[in-house]
Amino acid sequence: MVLKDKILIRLNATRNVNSFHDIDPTHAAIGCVGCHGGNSAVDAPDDTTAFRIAHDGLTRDPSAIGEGGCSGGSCHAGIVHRNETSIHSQLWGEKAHVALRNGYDSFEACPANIQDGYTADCSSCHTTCGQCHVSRPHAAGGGFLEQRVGYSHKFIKTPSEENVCTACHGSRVGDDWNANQERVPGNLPDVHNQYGYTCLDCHTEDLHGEGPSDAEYKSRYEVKDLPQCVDCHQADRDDNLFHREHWPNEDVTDGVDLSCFTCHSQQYNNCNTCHAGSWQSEYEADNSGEYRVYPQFKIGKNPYYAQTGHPHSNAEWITVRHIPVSADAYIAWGVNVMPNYNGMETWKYTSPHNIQRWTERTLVDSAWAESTNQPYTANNCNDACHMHGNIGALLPRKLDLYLVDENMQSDITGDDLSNEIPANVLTSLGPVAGDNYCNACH
Amino acid sequence: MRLTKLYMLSLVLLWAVIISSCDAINPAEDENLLDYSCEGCHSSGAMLAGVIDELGLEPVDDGHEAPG
Repeated sequence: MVLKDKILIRLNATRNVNSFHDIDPTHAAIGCVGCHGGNSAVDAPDDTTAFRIAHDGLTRDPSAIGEGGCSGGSCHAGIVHRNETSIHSQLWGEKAHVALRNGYDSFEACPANIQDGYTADCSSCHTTCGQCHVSRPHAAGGGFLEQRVGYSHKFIKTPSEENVCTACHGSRVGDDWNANQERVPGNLPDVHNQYGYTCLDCHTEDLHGEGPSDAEYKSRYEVKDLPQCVDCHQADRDDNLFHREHWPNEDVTDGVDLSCFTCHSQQYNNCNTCHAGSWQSEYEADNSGEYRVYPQFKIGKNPYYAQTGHPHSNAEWITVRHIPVSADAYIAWGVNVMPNYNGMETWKYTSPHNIQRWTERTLVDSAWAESTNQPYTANNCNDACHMHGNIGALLPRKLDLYLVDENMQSDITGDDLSNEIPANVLTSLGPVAGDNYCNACH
Repeated sequence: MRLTKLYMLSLVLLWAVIISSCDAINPAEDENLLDYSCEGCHSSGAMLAGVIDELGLEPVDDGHEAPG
């Protein structure tokens, strides 16, 4: 979209939309200059001169200015203050991982070269009040949320997921949720999407954060009140053999605990670029939107399993996604090799937003999709997931489902990623070469 | 005959709905909107296009698909 269309306030006299007051009378009372600064109206001999005078001292995004922005007066002070320390604004998880890999306890403990490098290269996903409630986030191209008469520059309390949520959470959540056929061919949209649910139907946690305590988050998966499948599906606990055997409850005595995603998600995007090797040049050239992503599905071990107090500790087996960082990714910041590169996995805990009831792992018998009383058979387990069952024979092809060290020695894209093996000791099943099949799972 | 009238009436109604849904690009007719006021300029597509073109304001970086 060209700049003109992004900033054009569409009025229409025949529809009684004659000014910004008719679009948003509450905020119009403050006036354009009241928020943005600059000068209006301007007496000038020509358009460009008028432009320069009008924009002298103008602030493009007044909501980026703490006290002077949306929290000015008593209008939105509470929510703005909470948002200032939210994970959306501060990216606490990303900062924690940068610190960890560089050998520091916290981001604040990192030296200036790392903090400055992070700010310059990594923090572009910061949003402001206005970049969600008036325009699309700058990182996603900006422009008013709505491009129609009566709505351009309107403050929208609940913006659409397309303009805001998946504008930033695109290649993982967005492609999964909408089944982007260019990235994940053959996938179906998430079943919740197919039934008309939106992001906010599940994500009922306050996206503006809880307050200063949010700074303690080391990962987005630590955020309190993130949605869990069992919030709605607890009633399904005993409805079939697989659920009874594998329900994630930190209790292995009733069967191995699997995350719901290991059975009910489809293939999802993995990445081999940005932070891997020549990530900087690729990133700079990437404004065309070409990320080097590929669809894959891998089951691994949950690094948070049985971790006291962690919200995602119930499942021992989880889906893992390749989100790589090369050891020299921060060389431009003066860090030749990350001193604690192996301290954080690169095949990470992931929650693909592409849930289906029937997947390659759950629809072992096609008759199940048509019948509610089609019986299970002894071979159903090893037909889809397990390497062996009652028949006892090894079925090595099932290895494709699992993250093993050999995956990293010869990545699907042809790259040798064996230097990532030590970093993934918590999520990988380990090597399976030779006679090590049993140890991989048991 | 009655059906024909109903058909014609439907067409007229459909046309009216379509026309009223169009987003005019240069609609500012309020005399209170001065040419060089914020709203005067930002509600004029022709004005914005002219200034953007003359000053070369079109950004090179139009954002990128975020990897989140």
